[in-house]
Amino acid sequence: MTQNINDFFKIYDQKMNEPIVKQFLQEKNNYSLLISSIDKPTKENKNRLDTAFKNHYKKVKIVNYLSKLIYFFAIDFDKKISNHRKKNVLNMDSDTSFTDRNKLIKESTSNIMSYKLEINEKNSKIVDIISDEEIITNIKNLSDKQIRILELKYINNFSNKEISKFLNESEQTISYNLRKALNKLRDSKLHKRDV
Amino acid sequence: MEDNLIKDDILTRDFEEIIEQFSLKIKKSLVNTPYQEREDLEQEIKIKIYEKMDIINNITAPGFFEFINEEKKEK
Repeated sequence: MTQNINDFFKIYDQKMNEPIVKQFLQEKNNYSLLISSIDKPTKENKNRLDTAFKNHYKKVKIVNYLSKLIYFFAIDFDKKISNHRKKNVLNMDSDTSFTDRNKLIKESTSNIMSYKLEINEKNSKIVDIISDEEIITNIKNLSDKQIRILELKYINNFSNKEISKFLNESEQTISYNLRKALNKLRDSKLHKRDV
Repeated sequence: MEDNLIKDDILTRDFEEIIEQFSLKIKKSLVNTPYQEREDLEQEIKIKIYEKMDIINNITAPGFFEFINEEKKEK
């Protein structure tokens, strides 16, 4: 019996070492389907092996296809967003004289942080944005500094470095406070569940 | 990812199954997007997948013996 199998593997050595075949045969069921088609090469056995392999092959193809689709689509999307934001920078709400307007443009485009601050026109606060009630109650446990950091990071999309410059703190302080704040928001939820 | 695709006998895929199985992959792809835009990106990805369901369901695969008897293709 095993002689047949060894011969089979020898004859088809190259193909049997292809990754897709190896992966296919790693599953017990598939391997036994192969063995039974070699030992008893009935039409039925061969068909079962064929079907199983087809399904495996299809799955691999689908995963590869969709993974690439998602990956490249997200990249394109991010590029569109960043281009759109660069082209639509400021909303001038009130009339200003010509010279004032130039001054405003110069000041804000030279500073990426004020550009980010401008994006958030409504100047929302964290409490306005969060809908989960538990989190809202936990927000009261945060210090003012931590709340401000959360707002800058998640509403205005500041990086940690930018936050540290803006608030005149060290980067370590910022990342420490950010982590603490997020943990506080998370922890309380867990404790409530245990009770 | 391959471990999640357990349903062996299904030849046509359900859109909802696909989305469920790829949900983590989709979440991961949101990481470089600003927070305000993430929901939008997630939606658009799902729409894109829906548009491609036809292609997905028409993917062909060789049978086992067909595969091992193939001439090695020049890459």
